Amino acid sequence: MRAPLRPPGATHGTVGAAIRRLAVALLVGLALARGEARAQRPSPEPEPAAALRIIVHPTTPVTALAREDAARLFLKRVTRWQDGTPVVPVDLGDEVPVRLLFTRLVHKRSIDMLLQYWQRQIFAGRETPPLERPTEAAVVAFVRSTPGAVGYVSAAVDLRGVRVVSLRLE
Amino acid sequence: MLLSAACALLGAAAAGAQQPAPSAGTPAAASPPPDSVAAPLPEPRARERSVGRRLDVHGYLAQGAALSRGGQVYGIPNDGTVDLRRAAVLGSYRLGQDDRVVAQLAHRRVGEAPRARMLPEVKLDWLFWEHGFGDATRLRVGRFPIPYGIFAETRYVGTLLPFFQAPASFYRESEFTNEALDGASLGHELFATSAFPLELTAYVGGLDYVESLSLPLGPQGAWRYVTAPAAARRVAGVQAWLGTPVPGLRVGGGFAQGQIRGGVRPAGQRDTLHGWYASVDGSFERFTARAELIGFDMQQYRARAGYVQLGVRPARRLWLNAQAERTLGTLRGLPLPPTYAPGSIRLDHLRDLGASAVWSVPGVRSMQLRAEAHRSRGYHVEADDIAATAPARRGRQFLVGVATAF
Repeated sequence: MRAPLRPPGATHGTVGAAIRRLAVALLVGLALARGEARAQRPSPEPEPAAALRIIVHPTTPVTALAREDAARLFLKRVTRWQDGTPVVPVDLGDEVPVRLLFTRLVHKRSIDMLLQYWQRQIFAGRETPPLERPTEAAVVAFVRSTPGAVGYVSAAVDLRGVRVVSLRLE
Repeated sequence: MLLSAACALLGAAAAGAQQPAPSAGTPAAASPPPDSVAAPLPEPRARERSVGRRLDVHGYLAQGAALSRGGQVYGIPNDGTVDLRRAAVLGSYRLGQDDRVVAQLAHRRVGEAPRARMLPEVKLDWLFWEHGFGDATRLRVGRFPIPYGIFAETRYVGTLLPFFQAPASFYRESEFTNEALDGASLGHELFATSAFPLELTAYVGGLDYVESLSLPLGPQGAWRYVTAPAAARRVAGVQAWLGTPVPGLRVGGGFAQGQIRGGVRPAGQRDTLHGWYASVDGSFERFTARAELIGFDMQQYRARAGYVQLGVRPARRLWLNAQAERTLGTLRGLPLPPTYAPGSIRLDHLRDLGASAVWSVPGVRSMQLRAEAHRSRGYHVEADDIAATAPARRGRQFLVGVATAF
């Protein structure tokens, strides 16, 4: 006797109905997302890049960086300067406004996406995120005392003892 | 052949495949650059060479509570369970600029799944040494996560998953060891600064795992859920990911082969596995779209499976996700009871439709709450002696959970 492995039974209707419900849920979600995007349009214009300073240790052999290069340094995709010195990127805490600005201008993504990127890197055993310092003054102090270090701060911070690198945003 | 490719990659790396350091700037000359602040430097701190500077420790925890309607699937019984947990602590110790040792201890609970009794409470999940040849090439030796599709390397990290588990059709579920390989891998990135960066990984090694499958091996061909330890040896595989000019969109694929023994096949029998897969991964600010297809062929079992996953983010802290997945299998050559015609039989092992909501808790850097529901149909029910003539089981699963990572 042959057993019907797919016995007759109209399950496609049930599955089809479930698919329709999922599609409706997705459409509702998309509509909500569009609504939120519209609501966010009047938000203030992004602060000018002039408000941002990329800083390096004074012995670091670089005076200007393209946006993509800066992003690759802070994503640890480039780990040595031209002279062979290890790159030591340092981040600010993810609630500091300058970090949000840096993430948007240089990484071209939101802080949430960046944190998710780092979680993927960490838990795939690949790489760990840059060191974090809680304040801009602490970032300056770290860069000043660490050969190969690179960080970013706002224009208002005391920059004695570090070199400011110009950033080319496209 | 794969080893030859690996050696070729290694040779290319040694020949100077290192990615260029940022070169846009003018190298520092004897005279200070214009932007340099010429103030006297304070006394530099002693270089931090402590263990704390070299060691990074991270971890994650995902806890679920779930119940089924219509039969136990993935360890979720009809009367519910809170025994669903994935946790790990990962340590990465930097030996130098180019060398790291990574270890991960993991703990997993899989509810009432038959394979639960085979899982240790805590397991050394990974332990590998990694060496970088410049920025483009990485060699790993030891026990490391298999580079396999979108989720394999992070398949238990709840904060990175739209659902409590990675799609079972593609990644299988709860087999504990099938995501780690004892062996070596070599990864290389090409065209890193172009619009189409290409990431290639080749690996060789072996692994022990737990095989689970519904098979018509009971009296009169009744379905039985079989769980047994298996081993894969002489595993070799490659994976490629190609980036695109669209940030967040990449396509990939790979294939692998290996010798399998133990598991659900008759005692003493060995089998050869050939597998391939293709992936599309779109992860954007406000939506995600992912799809993966996998095929694997053994002498006695052939399967084609895949899933589609969509997600939208209607608010900053909320993701809504939907998923459809299906596994189709063909059994052949097994000592099937006379209930079945000789030759091969096709089975619709699993269909699953799922929806989830994932909410990030404010004020906590990485904590998510989730609620999800699934509607499933198929023979992948963790129960014995389902009559051969019975229709595929239909069921529903509901799950709530919390996930965090640090």
